[in-house]
Amino acid sequence: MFPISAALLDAMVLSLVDREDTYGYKITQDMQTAAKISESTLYPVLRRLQKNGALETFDKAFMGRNRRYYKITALGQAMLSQYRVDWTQHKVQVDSILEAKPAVTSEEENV
Amino acid sequence: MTAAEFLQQLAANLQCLQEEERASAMAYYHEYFEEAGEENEMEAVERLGSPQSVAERIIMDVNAEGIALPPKSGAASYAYEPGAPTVQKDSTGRVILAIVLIILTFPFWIAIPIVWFTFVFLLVFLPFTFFASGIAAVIQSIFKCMTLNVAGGIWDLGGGLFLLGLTMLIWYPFVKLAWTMTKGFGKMCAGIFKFLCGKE
Repeated sequence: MFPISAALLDAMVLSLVDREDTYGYKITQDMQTAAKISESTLYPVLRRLQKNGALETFDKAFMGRNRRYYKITALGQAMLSQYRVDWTQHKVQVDSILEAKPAVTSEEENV
Repeated sequence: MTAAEFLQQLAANLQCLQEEERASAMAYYHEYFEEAGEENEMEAVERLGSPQSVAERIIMDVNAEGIALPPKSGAASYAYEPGAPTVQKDSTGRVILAIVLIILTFPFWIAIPIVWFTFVFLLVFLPFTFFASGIAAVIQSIFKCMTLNVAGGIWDLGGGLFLLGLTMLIWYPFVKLAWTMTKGFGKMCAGIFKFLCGKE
């Protein structure tokens, strides 16, 4: 219902990688719990974050095949902190409008 | 469609990308299907959508590089400055173009180095000439005196000393000027090269 902007997508991916080094498929699955985004959007995001120096990759063997892991860099962490600040601010601003008005007393109630 | 078919079509749709980019994307999706496993293969293919649309997203993202940072919704400004990476192919083309232009316009710009060289050469050579002539004149004056041509000797001595004096006066400012011109010329060349090789 509420579209996820590119910036928010970046932020969420950064946050997932910040929690623990992880790989593409897992990031996709984890994102599905929060956002019903198309799974094809993740690769460009990961690629761009890597090109911008926010993420690093390393390979680790798993069950006889190769898995490419992503890991957050110092720059990525700085970006993530800023995103979190911005998101909190955004949340507060939206909530200030979106929240239901506190319950009115019976005298003021309009039927 | 099977994963193999998907990957095949995806590779076909990514033909326009550079080798490195295409390989990187293919590796990602190869791994993606491997992680999904055989039991989830059908579902994974379905959830990704068509290979064409997946390829489109990748291509758009690659092409947007160097032009745009991730679009920001809202007025939020960010503390970080993710560097807009330069696209490798552009700068190579630019260097080649620069070299071709340099070669083609050589009759025009060749005058500048010639002028610089002439000036520097003169500035350095002149004092040296005066010095050499001065010494020569002094030596000659000695010879003339020895052959009792005192008048001639004094004349030459005078001239020689004059030239030597002139040398002492001018050699330092001239050499300094020549050096400044050389440094300036060197800086100009460096600046031009940097400009032509693209702003990085």
